[in-house]
Amino acid sequence: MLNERTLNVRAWFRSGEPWIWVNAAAVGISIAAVTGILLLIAWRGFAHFWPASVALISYESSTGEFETVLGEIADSELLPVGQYLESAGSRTEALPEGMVQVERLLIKTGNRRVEPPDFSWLVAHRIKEVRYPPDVVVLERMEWGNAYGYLTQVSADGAVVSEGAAAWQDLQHRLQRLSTQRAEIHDLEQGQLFSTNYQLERLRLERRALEMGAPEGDDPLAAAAALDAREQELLADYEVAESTLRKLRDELRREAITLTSATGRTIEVNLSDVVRAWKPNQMSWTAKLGHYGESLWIFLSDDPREANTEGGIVPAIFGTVMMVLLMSVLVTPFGVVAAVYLREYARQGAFVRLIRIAVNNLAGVPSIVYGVFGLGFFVYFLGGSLDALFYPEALPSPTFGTPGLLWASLTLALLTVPVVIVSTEEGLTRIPRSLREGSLALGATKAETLFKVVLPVASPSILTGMILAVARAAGEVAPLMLVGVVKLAPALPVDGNFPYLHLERKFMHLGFHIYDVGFQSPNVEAARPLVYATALLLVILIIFLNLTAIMLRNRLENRYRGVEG
Amino acid sequence: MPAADLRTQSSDAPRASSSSQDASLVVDDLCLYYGETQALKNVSLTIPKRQATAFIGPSGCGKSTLLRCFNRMNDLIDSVRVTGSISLEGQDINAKDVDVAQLRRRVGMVFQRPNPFPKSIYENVAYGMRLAGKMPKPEMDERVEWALRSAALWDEVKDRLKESALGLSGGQQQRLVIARAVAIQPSVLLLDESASALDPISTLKIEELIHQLKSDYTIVIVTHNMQQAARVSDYTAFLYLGELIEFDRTDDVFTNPKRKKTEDYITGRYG
Amino acid sequence: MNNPHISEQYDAELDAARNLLMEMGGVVEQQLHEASQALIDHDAELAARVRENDVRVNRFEIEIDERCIHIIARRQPAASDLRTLISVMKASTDLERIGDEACRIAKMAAALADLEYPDDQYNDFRLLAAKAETIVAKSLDAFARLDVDGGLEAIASDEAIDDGYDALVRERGSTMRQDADDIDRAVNVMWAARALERVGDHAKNISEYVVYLVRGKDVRHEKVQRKAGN
Repeated sequence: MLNERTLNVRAWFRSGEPWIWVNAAAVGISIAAVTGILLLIAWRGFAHFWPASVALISYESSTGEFETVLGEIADSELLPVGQYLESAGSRTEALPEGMVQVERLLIKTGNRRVEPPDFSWLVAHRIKEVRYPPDVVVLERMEWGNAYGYLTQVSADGAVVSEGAAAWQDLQHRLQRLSTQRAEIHDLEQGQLFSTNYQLERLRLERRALEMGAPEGDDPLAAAAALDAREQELLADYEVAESTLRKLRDELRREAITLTSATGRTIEVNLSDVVRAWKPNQMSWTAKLGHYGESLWIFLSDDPREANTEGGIVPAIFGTVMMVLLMSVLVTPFGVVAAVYLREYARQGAFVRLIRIAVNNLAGVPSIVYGVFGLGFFVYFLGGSLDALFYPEALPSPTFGTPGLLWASLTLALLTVPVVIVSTEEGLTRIPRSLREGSLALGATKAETLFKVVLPVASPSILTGMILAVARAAGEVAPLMLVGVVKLAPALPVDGNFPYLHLERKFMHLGFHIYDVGFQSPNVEAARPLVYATALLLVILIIFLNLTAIMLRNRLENRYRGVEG
Repeated sequence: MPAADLRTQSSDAPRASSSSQDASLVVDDLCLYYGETQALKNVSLTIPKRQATAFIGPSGCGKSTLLRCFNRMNDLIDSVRVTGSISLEGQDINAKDVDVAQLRRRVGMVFQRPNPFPKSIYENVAYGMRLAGKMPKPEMDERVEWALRSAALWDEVKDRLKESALGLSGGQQQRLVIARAVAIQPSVLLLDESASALDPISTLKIEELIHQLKSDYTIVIVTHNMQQAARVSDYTAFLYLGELIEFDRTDDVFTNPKRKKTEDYITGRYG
Repeated sequence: MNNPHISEQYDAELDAARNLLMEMGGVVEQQLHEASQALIDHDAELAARVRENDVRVNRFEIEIDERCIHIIARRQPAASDLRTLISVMKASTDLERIGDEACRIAKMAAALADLEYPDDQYNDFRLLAAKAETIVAKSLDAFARLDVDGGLEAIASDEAIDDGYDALVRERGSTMRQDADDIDRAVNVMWAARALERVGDHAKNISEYVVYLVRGKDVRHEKVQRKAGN
């Protein structure tokens, strides 16, 4: 009986079925892990934009006083009593009998600068009452985060314009007008002023260059005069623009609103500092959804504010995409040429094998090493030489001799070139000899065969290499910190000023943004949801870039299907 | 059997029987080495113009290697060394001043497996012509049609010239490859086991094609299908271990071979 | 004569066809011998048996043809194998004809058996029959051993049969002129001799196939040298 059972088990093992189960389990765990990570990031990140209700909490403090707190319940956690007491300091505290765990709530109270801190932990068992008063107003401010309170009045030029319920209506109108004004200012700043500034800087450099030695055959005096004339013109433009700007700003500054906080303190907010205002406890579900969409859109389409903890992440998205694209443009030809040489032209032998091993090992070098190399070689050596040769007028302030987009892209190109080489070589190896011979037999030279037959057929493999390279490059942070990524870039690497693509500029990057917001921001608690949101965006961006490449590859593969049959 | 004896015998027969026709390829005392190993041993034969000549022999006998000497495909292999001479219509093809690409345009080759390029049918046929230089579109169209007709493929593909050549059946692909080779109007067409990977019907179509093509081209085929050699060729050469054992009219080789080795091979006694 | 084929089955099939031909040759030889004997001995019974046995010969021919056709269809024979099969098929046709000629002789024998036994004891016929039997035996022997020399010898000996037949016709012709009562016998003997002469021709054909088979050279309708130069 027992014997028979062991036989059965043995037969079951011999059938190979257990292995199928093991494989299935491995795949299942992987899938679960990936979806788990994505769901967690998505939930943590995107819940942030949901307009949470604002609670008015009555609370008995440890000293026995009653306090009221107004804010969003951001998080809750359970702590073992011991740990709680330890974190609460040396204070001995009377806890209810038999309590094992203490529940703590994290309340986002906002009103930074007026009532710090803007996050506070409340112990659940001390909370006496939680209400959601409908009149609570949340203000999203340009600076200092959100403000929570009751709207008392709207004033202009120091005089009260409206109060109470009317004030809310008034505020809505004014905010609408404000948004157009703000757009005007933004256009002016980013458009005319920026470009005039840029041209003035160019002019300064030109003058510098003129001083250092005029080009042959040019009259230096005439040239200088021309520069002066242009400068005058630009300065005049600048004056006009600036005065317009000042006027607009002044106008914004005229209006102010006043909130009363939960503790009865008055918070005065300049209207120009208000991004949005809403009453979350009054909002219907659809209104909240609309608000959510708006928040998301701001996140995706605005510049960052408040040390990157507020506003959007456009420059980071843009910088990441630019860098990845530039890197692809640099790495693909280089990798393909190298692979073609190794596979098609080099005499296969020990030396080539050695090179191949070296290339494979290059892929395993820690990325920070590439960063150091990029800084030393590209930035200081190449960039420094370039500056000395082509931009002497700007010295001592460096042009290319400082971390920037080009060097970051080049460094990442170097980092990913082994991947492209290996993948391309694989593609070249897979091309059947008969196909090359077919071309050669028709009187094609080796180069003609390469360009007309071999490379097109190998293109899916080249793209595979590129996909892998992009995936790796988009996720790199460490080397980028050395060669061009900054916390806040003053300008995008692409703008309307000639030469439109500014390879020397520093740029922002989603990966670095995550690190910066998560660990370097002054208010880590406030920034945590943004870390998740940015992380998800980074993942989505990489997926998008990869999907594009994969779709392209699939099309090519379909075209060349059957070649390798 | 001494080599000298073999040479006189094998080269005399075809010269005598084809004396009325011009020679296309004349191979004289050809030896070929892959590094240290000798793959062809003192081969001499004369391939007559506008006739089909078949090379038969067991695997590794050097028949494909010999064929690949005619368009210098062996150049692609680094270790190959050749002595002796091959002349195409009186011109030494191994001479220093010979442009290999030019030679390959005169000596077309079709391989064992159909190897159309992953391009459209039209582009496949036009490939060789485009390499040779620019050609006005109407002329190109005409030449493509002519080549496809020559390869008996026109009627099957005329409505889908722009479609990928990889969508054709194996037999069609092989005829497309023949059309591709014919399009640049070579004088010699080499077929390296070109029908061995096809189904019998496709094989017969290719064989029929060879019959038609040999009125315009000198055709040399390598095959390990003896019946195929018997069906399509006018002359048959039997190679064994790198030596040319017998070269004679196909009718004679298949009814009454002179040499015992040939006899054994074609009657299936080779072990 | 040759190495075995890679396919043993092929060898077996070829051997079977050849052996069948040899067997048929044996039967035909016997038929010829018995027909002649019946004539010489006035043995009507034997003559009748010979005629009955012709069916066997015919069956042999059909079977050999069938086998050869199958081999050709399935094996696509070439060179010596092809020549062997063609020779076997053709030889079987000739053997069948020899069988027919034997029947004819048997028919004559039956007619002669009613007559009175002659004084000359059919000596002339006896001689001719021996020659015919010899050439048939020699041809079959050459075929079995693929012996070109033997075949060429047989081909040459056909002339002797022709000569013998001519002599017999002349002799019997003059006998007829002298003795009108013997015309019946003379005519029958001449018919039988005519059949023997045909047998010689068929046997010669078989020998020619042997030469073709071995040498790949068609020697039919050629003047054959006694010894083909080698």
